[in-house]
Amino acid sequence: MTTTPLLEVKDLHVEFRTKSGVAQAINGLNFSLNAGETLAILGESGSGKSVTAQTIMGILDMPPGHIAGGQILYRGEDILTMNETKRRKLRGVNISMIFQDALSALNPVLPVGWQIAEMFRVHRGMKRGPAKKKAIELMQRVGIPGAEGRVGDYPHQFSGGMRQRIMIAIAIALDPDVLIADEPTTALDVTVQAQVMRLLKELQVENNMGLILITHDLGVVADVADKIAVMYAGRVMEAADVYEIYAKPAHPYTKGLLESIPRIDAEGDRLSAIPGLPPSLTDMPSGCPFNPRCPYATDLCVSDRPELLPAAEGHYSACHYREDVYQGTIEPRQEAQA
Amino acid sequence: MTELNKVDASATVTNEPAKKTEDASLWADAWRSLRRNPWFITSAVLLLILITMALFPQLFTDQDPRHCPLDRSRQEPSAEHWFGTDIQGCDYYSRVIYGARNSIAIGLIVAFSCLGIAIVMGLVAGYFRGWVDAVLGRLTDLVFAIPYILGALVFLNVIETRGVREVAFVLVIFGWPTMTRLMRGSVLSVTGQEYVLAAKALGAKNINIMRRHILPNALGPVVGYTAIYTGIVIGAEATLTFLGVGLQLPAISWGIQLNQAQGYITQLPHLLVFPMIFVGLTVFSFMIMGEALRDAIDPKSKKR
Amino acid sequence: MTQYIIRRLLQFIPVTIFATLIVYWLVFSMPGDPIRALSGDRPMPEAQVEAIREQYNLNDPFLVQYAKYMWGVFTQGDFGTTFQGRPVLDIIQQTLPTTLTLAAFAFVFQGIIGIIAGILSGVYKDRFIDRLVQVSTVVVVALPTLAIAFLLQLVFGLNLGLFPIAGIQQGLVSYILPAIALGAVSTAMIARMLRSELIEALQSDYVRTATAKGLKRGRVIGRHGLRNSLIPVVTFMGADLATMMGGTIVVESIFNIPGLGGQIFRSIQAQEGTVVVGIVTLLVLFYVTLNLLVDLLYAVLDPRIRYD
Repeated sequence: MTTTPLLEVKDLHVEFRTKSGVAQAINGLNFSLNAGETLAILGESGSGKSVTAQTIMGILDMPPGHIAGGQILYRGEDILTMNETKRRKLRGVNISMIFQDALSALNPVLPVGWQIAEMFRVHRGMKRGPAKKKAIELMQRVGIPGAEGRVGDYPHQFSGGMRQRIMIAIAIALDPDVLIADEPTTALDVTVQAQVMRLLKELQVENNMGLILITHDLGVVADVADKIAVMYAGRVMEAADVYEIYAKPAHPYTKGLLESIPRIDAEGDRLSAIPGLPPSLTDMPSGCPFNPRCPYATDLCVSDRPELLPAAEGHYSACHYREDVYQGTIEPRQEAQA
Repeated sequence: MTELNKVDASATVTNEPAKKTEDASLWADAWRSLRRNPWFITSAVLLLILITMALFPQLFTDQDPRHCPLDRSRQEPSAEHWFGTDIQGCDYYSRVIYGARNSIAIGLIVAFSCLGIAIVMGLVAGYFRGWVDAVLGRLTDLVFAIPYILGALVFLNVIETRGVREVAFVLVIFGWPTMTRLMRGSVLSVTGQEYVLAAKALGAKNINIMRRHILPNALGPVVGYTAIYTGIVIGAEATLTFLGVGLQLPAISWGIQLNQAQGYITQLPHLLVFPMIFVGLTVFSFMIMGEALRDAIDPKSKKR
Repeated sequence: MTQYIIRRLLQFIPVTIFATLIVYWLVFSMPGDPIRALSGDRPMPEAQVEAIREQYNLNDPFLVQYAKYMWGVFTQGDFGTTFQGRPVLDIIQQTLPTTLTLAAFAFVFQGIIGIIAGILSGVYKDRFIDRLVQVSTVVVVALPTLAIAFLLQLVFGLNLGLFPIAGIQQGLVSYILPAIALGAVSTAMIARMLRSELIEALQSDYVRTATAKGLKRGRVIGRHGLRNSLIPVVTFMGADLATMMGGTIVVESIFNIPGLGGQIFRSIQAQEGTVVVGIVTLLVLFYVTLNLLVDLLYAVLDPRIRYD
């Protein structure tokens, strides 16, 4: 490929410097995103997926956060080295973000219409009246019934799903190229989740946005994503097209995750959970970070850290035995089974 | 019934050791954070000096504060009379030193009386709610509606001879609701805790629940406030005495000194400066101590 | 909303009654006969004494006296007359503007200085300016108004001669020191409160959203952080106005300002019962109204609060 991706993260390192030590939140993260594409970043809490989003947005709390290395290229330009003014003008305009909990992410004492209109007033220099009109249009576009009568309402007067729609309206107000959605449906009821995801998908297609969907929910990912990056302990463990990953995972961690979701089609098998807990960020295990929990771990996994390499065409995995896992020709070790 | 009592007894027995260690670590934590708090150290040292001053003023001066030969009146501070002499010719240093006793005595008496009332009333109002709580609520409203100083002023003016006891009494009357309200809130939050509900479910007697579970846990915030309140009371006493409705001559008091010195501010400012510094320092020490205690016992309260 | 206001007003009726009743009782149970004191050395004819007693309802039972007085206050705005025959309302009208000027100065002072200090401290958390604000607020809060007032008077009035030491002969400039003394503790409390509120707000999700919207730092802090942090500060300042009235007694007497506070102080000493009761009644009503207004203001500022 010769065209520059819309957004590219290269060897990103982020750490948190606290009194009790340095926590390595992100250790050499790589991925890229093209226009119109949906990348799902999948991981447990503490895997560094939210930190990734915050680092791209530039809203990481620094200190204690600290970007220890790497690049984030937006249309080929490193946003980490930009000056603050230039960077600020990207936020909300070119790259924007939806947060997990809309109730706390929206300002409780300002009317929702005002909060949407603020985008037009600040970035487009619009007057109060026209900006409000725009806000109403947007509220209609994200499917809020009776938008005209509700622009003056406050966030607490809306239901969870409606609040998230308002959050989305703010994020897409200025037609950004990149939209980061950090667990956008986690705080919502299951039925509402699907509606909100559908809305996001529609908006993405309409505007040809690149969408980064951050989630821990494999179910959400399958319908929406084009590509998946599975994160664990601040690294990408596996990256591939969505169907590839579901059909043939090439990393034991992904395999474990897939086995832990209930399926209607697979009968008889008991649900298995991955044993153990994610590693402490201040005290990473040597070698592969997943080795303490991995049923296939060998001495090599404890001594050497596997690189993210192709297991098949366009299918990357950071496992020493990626081909074997991919082909399904690997057996759990005896000790691990016991 | 005997069954129930047994359950209760065993429950409290098993509860006890766990409770002890928790308490110990709470206070140990508090002590650890206090030791590193410079404000606490400063106020502790100051208080130590001031309280010694109140108990044994002779340690600080060998002059008699009541020996007042008129022929040495209105002297500026000198090597002989560090703070100079007042209008009557009394040694001002010894008068200021001896003034500590009344102020600190009133401060402590009032604060601890209020604490005592607050504990009892707060427990009853916070635990049982009901009419006691309702009456308490109205009473607090009432006392807040009249500014503290104004109420005490009106009240004290009725009393013709006012010593430490009278002034303390009036200050308690206007002071207890604030602390009781604090205690009530604290009791209320503890009463909602699961271990209290558990004890209730096991049929423990109310008095035992209050003594074993609620009081030790609810007391934290009130302890710090007692020290703060001592400071507030000392300030109030000095103010009332300064206004002429507090302690009366021949008592030795900073408030009286300030009152008498006010007329000579341009000629003899030192008469104003020294009692002012001592009132300020005393109030300051108690309040800082109280804030340090409060922050150490209940770190969440640091907010305000 | 209206229902809430009515309920609150009803709730305050007993408070008002009891507060004034207690004060009334205390004042009129003062030792000594005020009429005898009034007449001085020369004994007044018995008939005249009786006439005065009648005029002030002194022959009625205590509760009737009180009821008659309060009736006068609420139906005709009649706060009674002094034994010299001067209407209390007249005295209030003469002294109130002075005290209101003083209170207004203090209010503005604590609002401006407290809020600026709080913002600087909260925004530049743990930096030098924050440490400075924190140390000075700790010290100021811990000092009694009495000491602060004398200190200001001695340093800026007497020593540096920047401001008048006492009195109000030199116009508005005379109010500056007393106002600072009156507002000092509240200023420090406002600064502290705003600091912690602002720090909390600046770490909140909605401020993070504001940053993610690409707003300038100033707008993020001003429109989003501060808007929310100021709510408790504004309500505190409102409620504090009532408390300030107590402080004026001390400050006015230290700086020799002929206001309401000084007046009530003199009246207590002169056993001018009617004046004391009149002013106290006024202050209690002031307190009640102010508290109600603060509650309503709170609902206006924070849309999440609804009184119904």
